Amino acid sequence: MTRVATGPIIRVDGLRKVFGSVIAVDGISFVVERGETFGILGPNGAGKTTTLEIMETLQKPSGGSVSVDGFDVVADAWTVKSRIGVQLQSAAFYPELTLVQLLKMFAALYDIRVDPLTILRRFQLEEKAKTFYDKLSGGQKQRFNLASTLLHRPSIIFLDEPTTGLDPQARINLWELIREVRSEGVTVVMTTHYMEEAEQLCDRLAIMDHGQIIATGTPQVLLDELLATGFRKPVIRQDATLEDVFLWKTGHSLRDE
Amino acid sequence: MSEFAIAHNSGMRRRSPSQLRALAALSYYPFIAMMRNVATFAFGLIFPIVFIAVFGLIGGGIGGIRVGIVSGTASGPVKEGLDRMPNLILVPGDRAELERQLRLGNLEGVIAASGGAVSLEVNASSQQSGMVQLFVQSALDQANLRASGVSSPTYALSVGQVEGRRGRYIDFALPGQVGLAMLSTAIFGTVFGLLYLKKSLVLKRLFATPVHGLTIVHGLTILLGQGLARLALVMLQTAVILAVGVLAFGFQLANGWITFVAMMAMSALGLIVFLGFGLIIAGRTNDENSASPLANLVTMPQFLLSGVFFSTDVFPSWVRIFADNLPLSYFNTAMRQIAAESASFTELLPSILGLCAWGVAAYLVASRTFKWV
Repeated sequence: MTRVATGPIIRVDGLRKVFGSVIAVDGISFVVERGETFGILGPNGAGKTTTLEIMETLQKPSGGSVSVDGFDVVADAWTVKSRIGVQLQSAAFYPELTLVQLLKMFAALYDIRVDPLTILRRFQLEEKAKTFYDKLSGGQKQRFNLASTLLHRPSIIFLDEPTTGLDPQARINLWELIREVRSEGVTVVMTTHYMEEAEQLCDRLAIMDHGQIIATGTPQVLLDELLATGFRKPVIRQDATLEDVFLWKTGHSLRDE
Repeated sequence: MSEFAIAHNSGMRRRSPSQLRALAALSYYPFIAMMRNVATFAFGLIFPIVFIAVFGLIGGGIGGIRVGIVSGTASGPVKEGLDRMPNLILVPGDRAELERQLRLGNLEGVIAASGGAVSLEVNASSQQSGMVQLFVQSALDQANLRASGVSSPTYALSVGQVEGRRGRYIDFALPGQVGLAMLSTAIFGTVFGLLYLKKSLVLKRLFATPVHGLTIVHGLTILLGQGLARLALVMLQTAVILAVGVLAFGFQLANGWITFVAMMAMSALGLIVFLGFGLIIAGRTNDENSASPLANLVTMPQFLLSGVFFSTDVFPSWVRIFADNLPLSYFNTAMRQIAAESASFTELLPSILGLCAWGVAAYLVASRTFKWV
């Protein structure tokens, strides 16, 4: 096994995932460059989380290949696991354990030594050290989530809708932390429903719908693409927002949950 | 260490994570979490202790026959004679009320006396009525003897006693309660515990960590950790139940500490076997609604038929063939043999083999049907 130290950190090639007769992911290909923040956008049911979970080794692909940090997610799943940090969509911690206990548990699972208080301090959770995960506010939970994701200093972290359900202040606070993580050289792959969030954080985006990638590029490229079709906002203060790109690409109809 | 300000070095050398440390963490922290869970605590410790307390009280109080005595009627030697009867519990009250209780079957007899004339009413449909008559007659006989100045009767009965074990209900009930607590922890604890971990994504989050276990089987370390945590809980339960039984209610351990250790070991074996049933249910269901009936289907017949509260002797023989071969019956039988007779391993072997056979079957089914998501 030779590792490629340069070039894209994630390569997704012709990835397919089928559940029974439902095609969740329909032959998608993209790359994530080392050190960038890459956003996957799309309506519910578009296949974002499935794609993410295949990259996280939590699901097996039905077809195609995915390599993360030079390792195949199927053949070298355990190596991949030790190089990535994973934040799931909702609470994924024992509610009856304190933050310090949870960090110690995860440290043991990654076989590393950590100082829980130093980590909590960095995420403004120091005074919550002895608090149960259950008793945290939404923003605190997501900060703790991020902290646990970074515990073993992974090369890549995956964030599934990190700011869903947060109030604007908590959201801006989390954006700051994600930018900080990126500035330290960690590659960030995230999904989101918020176009503003994608505009604020992501270097590049992929928009998914019905299991396929229907657009990729930097936020600016996507905006320019839309504007090139002659699109103009009725009341012009800003030529277009990313939200317009999103709706242009995916349509206006309401989706089921 | 662990300063995140240091940029990540992707070329950093990584050891393969220590799976023993991971297993220790996956046993210890779920155990801590369980101990903080109110339901675990209540079902595991408080309920069995409450049951034992109730049975302990039964052992002391219900041994006698309840007989009403009309207030103000009996006095003197007759009353003294009746008071001395060890098996009679005298309930004073007015005649009408006592007779009502007698008809309801709450009393076995009603005594009234005026001077030398003692009247006794008994419930004709009660099997105890003959006994009551005998006791009252005996009390009157003694009073008569004393009244006629006989202090050393011509004919006297002497009763010899063998040093037997006091056959009290607590001694029967306590091993059953250990079994009850163990079965609850193994089935309900495992099923609802694992379902919660599934639904709350804790399990998925654990799968994202590089814990591939002592074997190549996916997630076995996580299950093993869960099992060890429950094992620790059951050891604690058994120890507490036995301690309360011995210290507060005079539960008898046939051979002291050796019996205690043997009962602890048996509980461990029992938990390992019943965990298999918990895994079958947890592995086949995805929510509490479908798991709950299954868990009850496994536990309820055993609570009733496996001699938890009363001996399986009471069942007709065709029911006993079924009842005596349930896994909890094997467990309870072995526990009672250990507690009462300090049975040797050879004597316990049939029960242990029976239990193990169920265990092998359960794990075989579980391993073929278990689904993580």
